[in-house]
Amino acid sequence: MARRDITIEDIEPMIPFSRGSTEIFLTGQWSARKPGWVEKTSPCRSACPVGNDIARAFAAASKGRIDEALAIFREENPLPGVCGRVCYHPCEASCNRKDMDEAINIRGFERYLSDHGRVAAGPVRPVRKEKIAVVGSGPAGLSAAYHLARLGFRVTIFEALPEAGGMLMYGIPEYRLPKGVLRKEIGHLRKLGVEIRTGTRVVPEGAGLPSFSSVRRDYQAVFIAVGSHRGALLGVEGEGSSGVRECIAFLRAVALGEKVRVGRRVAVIGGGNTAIDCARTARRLGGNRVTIVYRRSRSEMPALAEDVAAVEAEGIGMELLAAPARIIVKAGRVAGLECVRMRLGAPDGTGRPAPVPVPGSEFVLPVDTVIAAVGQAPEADFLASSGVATTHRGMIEASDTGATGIPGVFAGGDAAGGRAFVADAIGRGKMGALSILCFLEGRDVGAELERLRIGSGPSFSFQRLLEAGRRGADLSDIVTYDRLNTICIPFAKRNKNPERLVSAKPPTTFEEAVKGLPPDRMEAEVSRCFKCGTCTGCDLCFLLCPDVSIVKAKEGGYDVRTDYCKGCGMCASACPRQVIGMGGGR
Amino acid sequence: MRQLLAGNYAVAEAVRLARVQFVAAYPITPQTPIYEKLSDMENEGRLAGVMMRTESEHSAMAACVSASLTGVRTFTATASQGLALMHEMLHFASGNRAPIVMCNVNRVLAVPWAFGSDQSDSLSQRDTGWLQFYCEDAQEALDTVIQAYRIAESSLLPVLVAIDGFFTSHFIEPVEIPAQEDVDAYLPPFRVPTRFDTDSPAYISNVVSPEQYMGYRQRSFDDMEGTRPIIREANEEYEKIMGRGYGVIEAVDTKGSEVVLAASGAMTGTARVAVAALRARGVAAGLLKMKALRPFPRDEVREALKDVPKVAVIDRNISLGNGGIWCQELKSALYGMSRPPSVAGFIAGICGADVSPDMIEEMVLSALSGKAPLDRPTWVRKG
Repeated sequence: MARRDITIEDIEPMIPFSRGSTEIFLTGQWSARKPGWVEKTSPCRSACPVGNDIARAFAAASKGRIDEALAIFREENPLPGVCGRVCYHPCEASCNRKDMDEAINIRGFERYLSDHGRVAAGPVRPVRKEKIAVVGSGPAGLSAAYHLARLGFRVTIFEALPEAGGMLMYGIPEYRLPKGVLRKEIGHLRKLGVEIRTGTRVVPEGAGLPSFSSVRRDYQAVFIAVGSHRGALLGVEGEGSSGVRECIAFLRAVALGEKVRVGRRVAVIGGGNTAIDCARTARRLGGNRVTIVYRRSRSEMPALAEDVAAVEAEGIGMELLAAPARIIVKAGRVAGLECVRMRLGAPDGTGRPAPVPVPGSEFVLPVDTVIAAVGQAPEADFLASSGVATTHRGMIEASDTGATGIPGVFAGGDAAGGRAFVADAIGRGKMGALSILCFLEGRDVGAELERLRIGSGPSFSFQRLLEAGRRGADLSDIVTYDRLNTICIPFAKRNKNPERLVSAKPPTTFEEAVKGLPPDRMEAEVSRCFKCGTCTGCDLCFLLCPDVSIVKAKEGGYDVRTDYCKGCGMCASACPRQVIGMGGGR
Repeated sequence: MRQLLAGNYAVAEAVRLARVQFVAAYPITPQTPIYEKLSDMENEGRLAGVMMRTESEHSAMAACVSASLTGVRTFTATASQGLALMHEMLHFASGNRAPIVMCNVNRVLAVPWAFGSDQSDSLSQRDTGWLQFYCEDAQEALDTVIQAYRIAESSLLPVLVAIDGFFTSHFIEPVEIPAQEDVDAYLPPFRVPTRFDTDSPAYISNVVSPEQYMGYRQRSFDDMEGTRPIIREANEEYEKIMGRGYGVIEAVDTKGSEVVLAASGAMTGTARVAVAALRARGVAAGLLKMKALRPFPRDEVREALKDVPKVAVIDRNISLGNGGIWCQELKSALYGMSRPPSVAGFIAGICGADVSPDMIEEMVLSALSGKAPLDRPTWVRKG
């Protein structure tokens, strides 16, 4: 059978051919829903009183860029080495990973960055002519000074004590926060141009210089962050005798390297972190029977649970539901502490159950040293004659944005009644810096704050203020766990910071009790982090898009070619971090 | 050369003899031995072409379409779920006029999960634009695959060759394997020019206007109609060289019969025995073997059944909401005849269930007596 061969001319009428581009067909025209690439905010950042961009720092570290990760923390926080050790890490309580296995060790990460990263300190903006005074060099004062300096202001800190750092230097013991770490971070502030006048107390009017009015005259704005360095008294019989100590003075004396002696049997009154610090310090100074006396139960203790656990690990006892009634004095010296048993009653003004004495339940603890850690108040004589309004407890009355009744005078930290945590003090210092910027530029601080606020949380972003042009994350959109795609993420144990080995021998030195993570375990922890809301450039969207409608953006991240995207949503459902989400039409 | 071969291996031999240049497939029961035998042949250097192991049947067919358009002879084999997964690409093959040959080993579709023979998998691909041939045994499978290349490459339409899972695919029968020179004389090398030209790149499957689209569809329809003489010629030529051939139907003793049994695939063998037994008992029964589903042998069927009063159709398949698919096709072909036979449908052997000669005799007699309903199928099950 002779057949003619089929030619290309035979075929062309049978099937269509196109030699033009198919791009003229905008195949995305008929869908109404399109994805959008928008970085969002992680719940850890939203919970952080400092506003650290934690997810972005983890993303940088995941590429091995440790210095950049540290710089990301330092966009919001001048003290990552401090926070990496002593912060109460509300970030970890909000971590999305806890809904899968265990929260990320964020505090350990921050510490690792400060221990291993290099800091390139330098002014961010041109130097401005306005001078700002900061009174007090604790976390609030340092934070305000840092951010004001980064804004280009000339900042002077007045510090009454011989060394800067406030409670960080004189309150937190060495075994929790080595002085060297703090000094290094304060050194970075100095490099930024912040002048710190130590040993320079602002004094009441007429008592010499610098007085508050002289400071106000010489500086265009003042931020008061004097902390609360006056310990409260127990208010019981025998308080004036030898062997009774007040917590702040006790810790400060130890920090100053003074010869501090405690008896062999020590009672520490209080349930907060200062009580814990006093107890652990007393243990190191030779107190071999140290007992914490607290009037409520363990679950009401204001101290962090992990710190309470550390107390027990060091062989320190706890007498819960007990309140001091009288200090038994013999020959002018403490001979015992008479306590009364308490029971928990109806909730009080703080929402916690009120401790109620049980009549006839008195008992005696045989102790020779009593340390009172039952509350603190500001210690600043100049306030009385300054015109700054204070409460009956001596706290400065400041608004949410740190404003006092006097224009140009702002306050923050413990002295202004803030939460007595380092991170909160740093946050209030940032607030003060923003308020001062707005005051000097005549801007509405409330509007600025709303623009920069992170979620509905306590903080805002200085990075957003300084890098207004950057393609930034949506600070109002907090990525919750249910919006993540964890299908490709394996379960993995949290990498905890190694702790000093608990042995039969009590701690005798002030060596740091918790160690830093080694690099390999830090790397594992960095890979555990979901980086919620932050694009890591993982390319899942790019690779999975069936319509080649996800393209890599020049400035990083991805763009959506809505002309061709059919709105299937694969990119949004595949994105592990919810950077790509489905939105409205094209 | 005569050899004892399972149907799957007979198909693989045909693929080798046709000097197929490209095979893309994915294993699935009961087709897997075809895939394995072709792999062996490739490994031994006996296969003219290459095998591409794909991750799915959809990809296998996509690969075959692309390869075919570059100007090579292509083959794939599948079954059941694999063919269902391929469905989208079956339209691409016929729409692109790619002369691919595929062997489908009939197997039930899930759910429930099972493995036995059932034609529903390939019959439900009826409208994808492929020619479809159903074979009775291993020999016919081998011969039909070789013929299929000749038909496909003359018409530029793809061809599906179906065999029954396990019955034909795994039963070992004596098979006559043609000499290579005879196959070469029958089947010239692939001569469809490549449709890809790197100097003048073109895009296929592009967007066209409704009028253009309809034009292409009508052209494909006309070309499918045009395969009728091509199929006939291909078989005549094959018969001349090999001494064997198969019509699109086979009518056995239909002339003068009171009742004709229509059957397809492996069940035809049993039907031959049953009809012979009936005739021996004096029943004027005949047999109509249905081989081609597409193009449907309308004229041939009408001619064979023009003076037959009763027809019984056995379907090893079921279209829910109507009945057996061969029965529907047959009825529609008979529409408009002046004295059409009455047609009774029987559903039997689904999932490879046993269909014995006496069961078939019962069906024929019930159609002859008029007891079997004409408006709905009769289910014939053992026990």
